[in-house]
Amino acid sequence: MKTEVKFAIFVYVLVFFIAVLPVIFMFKDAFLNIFGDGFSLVEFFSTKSVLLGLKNSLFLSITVATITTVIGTVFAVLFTKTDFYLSRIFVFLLVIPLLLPPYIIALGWIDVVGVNGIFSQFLFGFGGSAFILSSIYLPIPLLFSIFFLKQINPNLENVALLSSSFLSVIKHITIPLITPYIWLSFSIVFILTFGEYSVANTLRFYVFPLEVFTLFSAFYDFNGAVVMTLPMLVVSFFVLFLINRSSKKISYRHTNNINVITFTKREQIFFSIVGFIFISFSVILPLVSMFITIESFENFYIALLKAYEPLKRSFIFAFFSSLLLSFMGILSGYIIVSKVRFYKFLDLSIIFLFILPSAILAIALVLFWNGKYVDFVYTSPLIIIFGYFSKYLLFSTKIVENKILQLEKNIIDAGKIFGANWFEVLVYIIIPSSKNMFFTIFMISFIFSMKESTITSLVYPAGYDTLPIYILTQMANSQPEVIASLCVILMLSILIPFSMLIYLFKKGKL
Amino acid sequence: MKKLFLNLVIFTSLVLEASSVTVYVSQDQVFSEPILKDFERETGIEVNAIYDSEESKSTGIMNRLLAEKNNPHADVYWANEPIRAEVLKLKGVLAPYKSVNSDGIASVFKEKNNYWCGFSARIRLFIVHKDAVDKPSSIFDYTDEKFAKKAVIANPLFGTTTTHISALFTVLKDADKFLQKLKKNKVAISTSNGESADFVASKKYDFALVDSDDAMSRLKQSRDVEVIYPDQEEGALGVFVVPNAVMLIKKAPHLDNAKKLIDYLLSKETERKLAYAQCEQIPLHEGVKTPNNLKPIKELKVMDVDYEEVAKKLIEIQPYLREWINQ
Repeated sequence: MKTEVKFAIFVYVLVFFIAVLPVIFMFKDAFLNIFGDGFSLVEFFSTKSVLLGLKNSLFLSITVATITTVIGTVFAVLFTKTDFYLSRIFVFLLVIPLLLPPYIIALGWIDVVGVNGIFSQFLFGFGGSAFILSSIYLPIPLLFSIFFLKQINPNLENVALLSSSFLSVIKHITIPLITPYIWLSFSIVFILTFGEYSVANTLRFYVFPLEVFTLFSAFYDFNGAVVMTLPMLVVSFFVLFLINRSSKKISYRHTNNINVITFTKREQIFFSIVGFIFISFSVILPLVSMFITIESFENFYIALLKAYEPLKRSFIFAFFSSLLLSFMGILSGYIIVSKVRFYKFLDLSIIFLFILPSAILAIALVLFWNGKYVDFVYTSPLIIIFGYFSKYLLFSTKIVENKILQLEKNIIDAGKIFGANWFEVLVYIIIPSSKNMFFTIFMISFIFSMKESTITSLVYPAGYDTLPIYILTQMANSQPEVIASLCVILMLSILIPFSMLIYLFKKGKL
Repeated sequence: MKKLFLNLVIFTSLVLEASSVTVYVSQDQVFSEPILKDFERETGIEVNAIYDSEESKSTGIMNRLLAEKNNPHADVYWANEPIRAEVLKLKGVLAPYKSVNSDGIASVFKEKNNYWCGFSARIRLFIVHKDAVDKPSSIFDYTDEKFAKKAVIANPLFGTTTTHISALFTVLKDADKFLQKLKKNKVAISTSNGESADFVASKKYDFALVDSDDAMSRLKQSRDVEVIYPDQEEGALGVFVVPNAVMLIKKAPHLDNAKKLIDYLLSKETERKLAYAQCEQIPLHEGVKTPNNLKPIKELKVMDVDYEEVAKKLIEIQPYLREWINQ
């Protein structure tokens, strides 16, 4: 048996048993139970509330994905292709909303605007939901674009610069080269927004996932909730299908050099002011409100003592999940790019798991891993790691796929000619050629695992709550200063190690 | 040697099993955790708790219990209202248990076959802004024209508002007309009772029907609000009482400890602690000392309902409520 097939079987079996099989079982049960006497799928999906929810969700998702992709790409160009001196601090600030559960950000904004304030008319409804979700998901296109802008071959831009202006080169050379990643981040934001209900619900804007949530939470109707996810899956698959098609048209080159233009002092000041105003309104205001609520260092210290155990567990679970996600992401991405037999099964499974609403995925994991002989998984933190693995394998896989496509095909071919097998090409050519790939996917997996709350809340074994869960269970009737302190602790617990790792990585110590 | 090691492992696991209990809790962690810690301290039994969150509208635990039905890991469920208990009973998740400490609790707050028992209750009352020109005295004031656009109520698809509306459907012949009039009178719908209370405290609306703990916490934060117990006149409906409910899970892995925990939660001492906690819940046992601003249950005119009937009605009217909310 060829090496790649052996590895592929290992990956397929792992993905299938950890996540796909539980979901298949759940869908099978739901469909068998619901399609009994007189059930009509058309009737089920044609109620006024379902149609309204679908319309609102589509509109909201397109708006948020468009806003974040456009602004994220513009900022990425500013931070990557110029010598703008506030780049790092602005990236740092813009990433913060992504580090907290969206529900908490929405509550933070209600604190800022108030329920009776001048802007509350805007906040409560479509405008507020689109604005807050955009601020939360902006880091995704921003980081994607920054990462891939740094991979563009500068020679292509240099040639164009001989006869065109910098802006023209950005428009006609640079942006088209990263278009697949722009579309990829657009689709990820679209799907994340399409599945998110906590912000819209808090701001009283009716979205489709609320239909699923209502069936699940108010009616305790698993079967109905599972069937209700179908439109979400169809829409999300359609978006990813379009993105996949467009990404195949682009070829990639590898480089370590970046073209950067020098700003004049006036330009530095102008962009600093514009950036600062933007960040103040989208990030700093709710954070300031949070810091003001803490009131004293003593409150923060008390919260820190309370948060110590959940925080420790969050770190451990996120660390092991990220390791697993990085390892499996590299193998999965490489299998998909190499088109090893049945790779489409893997690709579709990973996409499917990502677009499935978190609550539904969590229940599928509970139903399956709480079986008679396998409940050692459900009664241990393994279930949490399985949850993160199922949900976030898409990120690591897609980054690896795109990174491998960027490598010079000749290098890989040369390796093969000299007798390197499939795995040796991965270990001795691909991984050393893209040193920051493992680091990037580990970091992204770590961030999402650290802040995850929906899956964790439904699967965590007693005594294994994570910090986001601790915050959410403390929210009802706890003192506001405690909650604000806990939110800041969660934020710092991601930002501090994140910054340290980036520093060590850049110094070449990792 | 191998045998000795195996025996040691079995013994250790048995000891660990014997000294713990797993409880799923829908009552706010900030109020329930101290009680469970006290139990742990007093009995030496380790409590493993899983708490619900407001983000999931306190229904995450319910869904988990249903998903775990065939292989339960919870021993006890501490619900913050009895309707979930009834739903779990109907779905075959619960086992009956009659606690010695349930004797002092009125039968209206207990399941007749001992599947659950109520304790420390919240009541549904009005939080009213002090500047409001007209003050409500009955839930039917929601439909009075003079209160048009001045009142708010939480989404009746979730939480205690669902329970309250379902209870109205069991005692009123024309509860659906009441809901239609609510719409006609432009009553605002909030996402939760907490939000309704905040709306009133910030003077966005004059009054809201909320749980007593939501009202009490705003009362402590703001001098601009007051509470009114609705429907207290002769012949009126009375206030709707929402007790906590504790129940034993069928095939509970730690049965003895589960029973001890249920006994503890149903004790007068637990009710006293919850009365003096920030949530200020009303004891259901007679003679439990309470803070001065809390009316004892016997001084209140209470809505006469059968919680089993309310649970059945809730399931029946949910499609209607869903339609109503989207009208």
